[in-house]
Amino acid sequence: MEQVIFAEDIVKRYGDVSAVDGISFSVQRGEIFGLLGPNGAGKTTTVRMLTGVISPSSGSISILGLDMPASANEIRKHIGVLPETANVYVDLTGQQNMALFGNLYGLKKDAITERSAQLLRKMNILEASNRLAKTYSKGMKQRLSLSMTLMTDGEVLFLDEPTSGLDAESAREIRGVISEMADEGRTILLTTHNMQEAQDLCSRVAVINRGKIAAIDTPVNLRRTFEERQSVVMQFAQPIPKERIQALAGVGEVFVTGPNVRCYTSDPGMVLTGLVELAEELGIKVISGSTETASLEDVFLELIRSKGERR
Amino acid sequence: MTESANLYLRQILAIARKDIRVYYTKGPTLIFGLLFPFFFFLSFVVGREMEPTTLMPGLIAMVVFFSATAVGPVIFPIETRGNTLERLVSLPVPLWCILTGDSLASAAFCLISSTVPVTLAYLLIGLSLGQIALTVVGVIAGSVCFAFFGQLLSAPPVDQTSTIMMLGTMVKFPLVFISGIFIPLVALPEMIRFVSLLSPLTYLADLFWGLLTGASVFHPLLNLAIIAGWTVLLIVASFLAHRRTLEKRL
Repeated sequence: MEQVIFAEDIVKRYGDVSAVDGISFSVQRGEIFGLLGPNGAGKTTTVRMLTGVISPSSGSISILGLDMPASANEIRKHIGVLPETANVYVDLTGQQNMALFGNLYGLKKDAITERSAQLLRKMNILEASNRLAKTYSKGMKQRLSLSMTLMTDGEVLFLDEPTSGLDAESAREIRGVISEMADEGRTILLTTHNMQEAQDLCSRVAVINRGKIAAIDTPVNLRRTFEERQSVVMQFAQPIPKERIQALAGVGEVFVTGPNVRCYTSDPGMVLTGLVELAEELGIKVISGSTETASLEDVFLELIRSKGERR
Repeated sequence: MTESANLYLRQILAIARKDIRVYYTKGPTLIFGLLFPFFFFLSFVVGREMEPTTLMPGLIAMVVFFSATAVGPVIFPIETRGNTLERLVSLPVPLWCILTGDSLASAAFCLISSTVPVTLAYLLIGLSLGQIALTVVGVIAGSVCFAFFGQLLSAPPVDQTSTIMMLGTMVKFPLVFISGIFIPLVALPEMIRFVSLLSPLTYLADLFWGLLTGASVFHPLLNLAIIAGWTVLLIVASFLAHRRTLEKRL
């Protein structure tokens, strides 16, 4: 298959700090590729380098077979970029924002009018298109922002946290539009810190943290890692011996701090039941208990560890 | 016109149109572009008996200078803060197109503002058609030159308009005093006249002094040629400075 996005050993340094530290990956035509990582992981810096907004300190990037940043202006004619925040011109109307982008992409007047109406209708903001964008809700601004990105009808889209900070309904609508764009054959690079979003949308995901990629895999395979990093957190009236907890079925790593216990497991329900029964057997009162899904930091550490074990 | 030249022209006009809609009514633009030269002028004139002929050259030059440098410094900090600059630079729009579009909007603001003092000069002094034509050419040349001057002032990568305006005031105020705005270049002490030759505003003021009162050091065409030279220098300096600081804004 044709490689549309290709990054090899890209590094971005700010003084002594490496925001991105030797990332390599490629994205095939028609694929939705996710960059998954916590805030500050290096996702936005990576997208900025891929779109030529900033230059890498080292490494090479190719988009649609052209070198970035050497051919940045030519590449940008064929890509759409949605930066991290819903950065529309709030002192312009929705329609004026669309016209501005249409003109900057070099579209003809008729094409701008037609495409604007089509996109604004699709995003459910056509009726508000003559209002200043400062009167829009955050979700409306993000939908307008995405519409502006799509004015070019670009074959490659870079979407940086497209649903971040949105309410559930707006986020669902945006995800729906992204799926439709993928169905139309576009190649999409999506950054997110939401595991569920990555799983729902992406065919492959790169887990990134502290500027490094820990793993690139399908969401299904990554989810297995996530499942093993679920945990049960309990507080008892008195400390319980760690060896008794470790002997319970389904328990992985155990951390005991006084009367507080954290057990990693792929089956939180079973471990929770086991801990309650153990407490009853020892005559110790349960103060509180909860289950937690893996944080991205947990997943990253787990991936690093499993990579080390494989070597 | 080639296809790419046509595209660049459309992009420049689209940027300028956006700037006109968004930035002309911003507080700092109105304060530094309209109120400032007006009150500056009043503080100089009030209480002094002066002929309109001796007031008009300074008034026109000051309005051109302040209004042309009022819009540019507002745009980049606000676009940095609102993250709209990142959007623009991720489009197929070269940086020089963005800067030219911004400067075009600044120059247009200056042309609109300058109609008041130029009309006043026409009514009070009774200029000939030739004087009016050369004055208008001077206003246009000055508006373009100082639009890029304002653009250069906005190069430091900050996201607060007040920071740029403070920096701009530190540069603009001394220029007003050394450039023969209120006193013609011919009447300035020799030492100050020598220093004033380093300021692009000197040649605009001298042009207007010459056209309206006849008290100039340089020929009008030489003044216009020097302003054109300064314009080229400021365009290059502005582009290089913004290219250097662009990444730091993101």
